[in-house]
Amino acid sequence: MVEVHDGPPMDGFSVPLRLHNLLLALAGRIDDSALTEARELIARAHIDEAVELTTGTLIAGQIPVSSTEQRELALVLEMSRSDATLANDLLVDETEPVNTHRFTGENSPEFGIAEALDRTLQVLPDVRSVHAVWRNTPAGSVPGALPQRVVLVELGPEGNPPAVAFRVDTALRRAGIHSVVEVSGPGVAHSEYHQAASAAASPAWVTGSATSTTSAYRPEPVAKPSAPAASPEPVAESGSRHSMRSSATTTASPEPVAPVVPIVSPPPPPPPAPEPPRKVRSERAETRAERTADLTPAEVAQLRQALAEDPEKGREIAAGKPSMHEVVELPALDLDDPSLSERDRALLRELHAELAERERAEAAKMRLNGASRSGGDQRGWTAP
Amino acid sequence: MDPDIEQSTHELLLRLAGRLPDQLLWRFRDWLGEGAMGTLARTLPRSLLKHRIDLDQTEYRLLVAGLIPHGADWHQVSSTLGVDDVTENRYTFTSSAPEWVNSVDSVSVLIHATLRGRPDVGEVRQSWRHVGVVGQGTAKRVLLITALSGLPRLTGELQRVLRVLGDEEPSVEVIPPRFDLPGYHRAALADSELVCVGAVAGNRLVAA
Repeated sequence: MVEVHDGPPMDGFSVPLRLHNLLLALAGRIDDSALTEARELIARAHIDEAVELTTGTLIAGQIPVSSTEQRELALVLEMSRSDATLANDLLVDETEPVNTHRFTGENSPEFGIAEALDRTLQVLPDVRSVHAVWRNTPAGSVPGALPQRVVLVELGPEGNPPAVAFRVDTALRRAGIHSVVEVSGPGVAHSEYHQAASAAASPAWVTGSATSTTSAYRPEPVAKPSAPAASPEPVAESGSRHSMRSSATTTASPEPVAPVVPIVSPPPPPPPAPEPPRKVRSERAETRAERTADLTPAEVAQLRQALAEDPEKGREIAAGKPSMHEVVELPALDLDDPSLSERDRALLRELHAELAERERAEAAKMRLNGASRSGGDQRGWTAP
Repeated sequence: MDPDIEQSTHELLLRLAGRLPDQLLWRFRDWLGEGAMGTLARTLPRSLLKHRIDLDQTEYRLLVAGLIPHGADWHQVSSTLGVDDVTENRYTFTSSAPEWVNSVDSVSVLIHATLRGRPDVGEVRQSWRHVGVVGQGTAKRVLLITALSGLPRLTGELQRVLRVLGDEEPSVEVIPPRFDLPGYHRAALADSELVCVGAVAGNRLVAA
């Protein structure tokens, strides 16, 4: 029997993630149906069935694996209470698998994906990018039809790769887009297969700042809202992960989005904004709360105090009364101060809600005036 | 592989058509075609239990004969034997292709080109399977073939062909001679059309 206690290289990952990463390594070597089904089974907490399907497909197809992969499969079989001896039947070959697949980005592999995933990408946390490519070569011993569209999804640390793979695949199938979805999280090396696919892939959806820096996505505990989805936060609903969408479009969506969705870029300001420019921030790193509200610390301090002392006055300020933009005679408040209490944060959330309401009102007003953006904005969210 | 063991497992998988999800059934049949008996022995009994598919006594004997010699868990195998009657076929079949199939049915043409006059193959027919009312929902092609030998391999081969042509979960029923047809196959044959005939004459699925 295969020794399963050798300390494989994926120690530290949970069992579902270990199997997900194994499937990433097997992409292009087993058939796309097996990959997709195994990922759905992982997402549905049927790890045993997923690993049995994977191992069985490798055995029946006489598809070689490395001894490390064999140990990893044996380990997952054992940890999921399947029969680990199944791994003994695997064909082991230490020769590094050579990627023989051919990919092409021609003929618009990304067509329709951004639209099909609209809702999915609003809901699922920390999705960084979605690319697509055609694969012109068969995969595994029982390949499907060609060309095969391969959708490559990059996640940040808050995303759950198996869950995203399943949800994205489901949304694409619902839209009639047949594909195999490869989801990579941080800390996992890309195989040759994925590198070759990425090199030819076309972007279907990319977050605004994903191309410049990844550190900007990282969760910031100070500003991370602790309230569950039950307390709707319009700032999270602003859909600013779709960095190129207009605020008018996003605020029209009535469905709340879970507050854990990271905000990666500030919503674009309304074109004829009656407010004075707000680009007076310091160079320090922004908190999520700041990014969503797009306020200076002085404004936040003024509103915070007003809300604390007199909620009615605070709401007036948040509603954009002229007094809001008067010179503030309050000391600047450092929002990064870890001493902010839960009450402070609750007040800030209330403030954000008011501001979002104001933005909606402004957007509605603009639409009435014929100043709203055209539908071209929606098309524009597919990165060039 | 012992031909009796292979034959038992093939017949069992044939009888599971319309009961085990297509997604699993075609995969198990592929594994059988490739001779992966140890894999089947460790996975098929568990799948039957998880999907709450009870076997009648004939099917149970086939499971025991086919998979116990390859290491199937006896407790799992024992638990698959049901007491109540097996649910009858819940599908309806039609012989005519649904509207979405082009006037030139390339799958049918390819099957004809592959199997016409082929040794050990008898009649090749196809039917369209519907869930519930015909015309609502999607129709699925079911191939019905008689063959004298190499049934699991022929099944696997045709499944691979159908998958390349776009049928992700192909339904290929390769039927041995003197096989007591389950309700599913009887219903499919009753509403089927002839695709071609192999080299074995007289091995007819449907009376002329």
